[in-house]
Amino acid sequence: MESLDRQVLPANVHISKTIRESEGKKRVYCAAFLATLAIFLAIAESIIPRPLPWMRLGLANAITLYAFSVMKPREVLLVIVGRVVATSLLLGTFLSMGFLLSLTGALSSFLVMFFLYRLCTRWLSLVGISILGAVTSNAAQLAVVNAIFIGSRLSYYLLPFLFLFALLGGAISGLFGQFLTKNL
Amino acid sequence: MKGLKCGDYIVIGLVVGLVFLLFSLTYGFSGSERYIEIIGKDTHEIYDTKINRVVEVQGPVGTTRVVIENGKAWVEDSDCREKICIKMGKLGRPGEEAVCLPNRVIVQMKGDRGGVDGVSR
Repeated sequence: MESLDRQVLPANVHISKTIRESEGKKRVYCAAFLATLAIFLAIAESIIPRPLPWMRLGLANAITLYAFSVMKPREVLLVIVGRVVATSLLLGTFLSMGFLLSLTGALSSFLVMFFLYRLCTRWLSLVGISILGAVTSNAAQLAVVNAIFIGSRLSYYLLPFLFLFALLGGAISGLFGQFLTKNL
Repeated sequence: MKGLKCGDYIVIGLVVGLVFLLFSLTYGFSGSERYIEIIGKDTHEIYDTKINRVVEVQGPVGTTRVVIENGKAWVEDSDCREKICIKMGKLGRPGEEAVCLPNRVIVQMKGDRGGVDGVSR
């Protein structure tokens, strides 16, 4: 088993190092590579049945967290938008309500996580950043739902559930992101 | 947990607090503003649902006895013929009411309706 691992991924190949040191066009390829990983996680996670449409684990977010440690913010944004668009194309929800919501959530949580990663890494690990990003994402999505369905009071009754799932999903994907950052 | 920093625990605590706060705001206090309104022939009274008591209302036919207990209200006894007001059972939610037409008594649970009346699928 060990020898097989060596063949596929030699011990001296270090993904984080490769991404950091690559230049020019290669950086776009690296963004595409990370986006592909995120798409895989997003689609694998969409297999899990869920009672509410936007109640998800957010494992793809772990890739975003990892990307912060090896890439410039612009390239992270590329990874995120590429992931959201490609996932919706593959799942057949492109330009639908769900796509709009996931794009809103992804962009708003990117903004929050970017500033937190810049300013608060002394205080916060990736887990805390991820939880706050997930909470922002859910709050932003609910704001969009409220703006589209004006005056729907039902969404306020969803808010505590959404934040609860943001806490759980954010913690899980944050731990996963931390694992990736340390080991990849 | 090894990789967590002190800010993480603050964040987790804050979010847990937020969840509890939102739960109590959206689901907990919906019953706090309730009151019982009893309208008789000559009387119009409002009672707190939290205080247990028995109210007797005089009407053209006789007395109607209304019991308020543990946040619920019901007509226990009435001198009318059909006893429909008694059969209405206990009023536990805002909007429910028991009416005794012969004795001209209306018992209503009032307050913020809150929550969802119905869901269509």
